[in-house]
Amino acid sequence: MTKIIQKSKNGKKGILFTITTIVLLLSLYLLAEAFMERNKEFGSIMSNSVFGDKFKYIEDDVISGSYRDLLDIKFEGISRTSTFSINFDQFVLSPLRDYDSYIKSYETLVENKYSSLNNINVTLTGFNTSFILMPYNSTFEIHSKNLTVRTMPASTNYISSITAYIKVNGTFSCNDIACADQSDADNEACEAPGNDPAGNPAITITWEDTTGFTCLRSRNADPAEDNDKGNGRQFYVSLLNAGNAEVKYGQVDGINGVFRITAMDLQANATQLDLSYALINDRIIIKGGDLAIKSELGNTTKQMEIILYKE
Amino acid sequence: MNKKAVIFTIDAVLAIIIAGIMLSAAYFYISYEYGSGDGQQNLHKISLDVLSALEKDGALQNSVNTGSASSISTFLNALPLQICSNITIYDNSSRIKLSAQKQGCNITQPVFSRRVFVSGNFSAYYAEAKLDFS
Repeated sequence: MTKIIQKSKNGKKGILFTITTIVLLLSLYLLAEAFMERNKEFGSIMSNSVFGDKFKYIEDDVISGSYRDLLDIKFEGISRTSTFSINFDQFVLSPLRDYDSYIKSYETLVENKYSSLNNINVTLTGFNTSFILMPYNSTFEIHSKNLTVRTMPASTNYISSITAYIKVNGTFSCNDIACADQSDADNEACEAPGNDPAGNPAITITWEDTTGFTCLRSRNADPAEDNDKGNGRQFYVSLLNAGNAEVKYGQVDGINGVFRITAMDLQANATQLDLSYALINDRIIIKGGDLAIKSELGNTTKQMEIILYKE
Repeated sequence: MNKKAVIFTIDAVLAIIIAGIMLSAAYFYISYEYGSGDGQQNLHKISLDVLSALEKDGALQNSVNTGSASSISTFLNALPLQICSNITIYDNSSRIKLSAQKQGCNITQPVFSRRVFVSGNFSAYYAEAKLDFS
């Protein structure tokens, strides 16, 4: 009888041990499975983050420095006092340069070879030789022979002054001979349109030739006045050698408030171009075209504006 | 008595098999996702950093302008010992313009990354980085 009771007790213990072992093993199994599930979720988050990282890298790669390098522009910065000023230190006009082709070549490389190698689809829209200054909506556009700033897309004129310092690779002409000295150069080497009433934007142009002589003219110019070539109202410089350079401000090509530097058959480098505007409190943004990046794998698309400067 | 021994043995063997299966499954789940992927992903990030640093430093542009990849080689040789690297610059027709490789190592299973840049003559190029653990 005692043996039977002992056997029954042992049997119960055995079942208890077995159940405990199975429960422990099951717990371990379930814990491992839960761990794997969590790892998968983490992996998915990481994967999305990798896409984000990749898009950020591509954005930085394609945009950063592209306009500056392709258009050879030096942007100095902006300042706010009683007016808002935007200052550039370089715009080079040269018959030896073809900015449109540089931009096109870069765009082709990015949209084709670069995209396929990175297994993405990069699209550049409105990527050209122009950019826009917001909120004034002034458009800057550069080509080999001219730089055009359209300051009046709307009827309001915000421009209070424009100052440019332009170096030309030619020699000043003073009555068809080389200028004798700086005073001679300043008197004879350049011309300007007639003065419009005060209150109109003040346009100041300084020319410098290869000998280092300078010639400065400053005028108030009406942004709505026809100032196209041929009517004697443009700023221009007299040169001994071939080629000519001039600056217009006013109504050009039928559009008001256009500032244009033109250099024909010579190189002109605007080492200073400062535009002063009436103050607007909105943030300043310089914007180029638009960029879209589409991943071929994740079917994810990111679209963004090409912001060249943000205040 | 013999019968009991056989039953005990079978019971023990079954228990060992079941425990083994459970433990193996647990080990499989826990070790899942821990592969070489993390290392390769980190290497890819390093390759992006390398190209960004070389472009922003002007080394890529200078190499094309001067026709010498010495500044890139100097940079690659300064990378940690564990990283083997190669940078090749292509023009917009995918012709090799320049190439530089870290000294004393071979690249067998590389990760790739690329970066576009503009040289002093306004031409567009792209640099391809190949990185591997040495």
